[in-house]
Amino acid sequence: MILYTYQSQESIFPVDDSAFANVEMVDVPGGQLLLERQKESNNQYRIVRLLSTDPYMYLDQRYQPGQFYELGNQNK
Amino acid sequence: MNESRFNNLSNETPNPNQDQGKGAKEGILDKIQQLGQTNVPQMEQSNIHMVTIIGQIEGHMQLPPQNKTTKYEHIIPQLVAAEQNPKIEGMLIILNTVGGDVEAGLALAEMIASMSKPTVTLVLGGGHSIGVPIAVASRYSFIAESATMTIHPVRLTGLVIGVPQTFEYLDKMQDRVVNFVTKNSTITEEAFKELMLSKGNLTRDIGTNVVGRDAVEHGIINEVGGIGPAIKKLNELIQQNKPNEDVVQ
Repeated sequence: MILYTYQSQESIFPVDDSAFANVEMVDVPGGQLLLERQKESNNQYRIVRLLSTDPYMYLDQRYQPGQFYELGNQNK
Repeated sequence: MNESRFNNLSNETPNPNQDQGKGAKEGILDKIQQLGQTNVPQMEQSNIHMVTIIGQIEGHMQLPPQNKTTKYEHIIPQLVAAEQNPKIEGMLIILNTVGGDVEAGLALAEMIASMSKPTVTLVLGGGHSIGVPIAVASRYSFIAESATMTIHPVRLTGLVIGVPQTFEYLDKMQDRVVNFVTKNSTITEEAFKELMLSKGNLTRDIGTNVVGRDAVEHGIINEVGGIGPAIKKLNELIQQNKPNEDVVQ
């Protein structure tokens, strides 16, 4: 089937809620981190994106995208 | 009874102390590993902060997580914080966006335009559609030589507008975009509308795709350049901003 429409894809094919459940936004000093939960474990996350206006934060090894990031218990 | 209690206490007291010491140590270790919140040597603070506006500008509808988006609820507090923080002297806004929600885009553009601190925008790759008002919102704008900006009318996604009311509403919305761009750049309303409505530039669509130098020639963008000239200009603007403060003191 070919569907011709002016609607955007996500308004016709709703995105699975699990897609949203796997990403999380956490606060870190000076900005926020966008994290993606790893499939194997519940507490292991991988950094997708750092949101900060401070350019030096992007040089910080701890916040490099792709790094593993473990959420502390206090955040749960 | 009393005695035995006392004894118990005295026997127990050393243990909790040890445990506490252990717990505190582990706590710090946990923090270092997980949160990085202990005293890690900080680099000196940058006097220039930057905002990246990438992907699609997200409006009231949340886009799926696989989309690259710029959310206004992230950017607006960042701009407020930058305006408020005395240590931040200038803002660099880097754009590589396909456009998106008109009202969210205009909100960001108005925020940037009304900042009292020097702002410089740099368009890399693309600053299309609603990215145009954001690009012109700053005091001084740069565009990379290979970057492009698509100027086209406001629409849903390109099909014919169904009813006259919708058309009028979109037309009004478009006026807001046109007014903002002409107010914040040197292009005239006529010239901008001509770019917006011209035929033959985009396949089967109206609008114009302006590349790097063209954007400067049309008066939308101030200068062709990259990150080096952008930071240099921002530092110049910061220096110009400074003497006034000294006079006040």
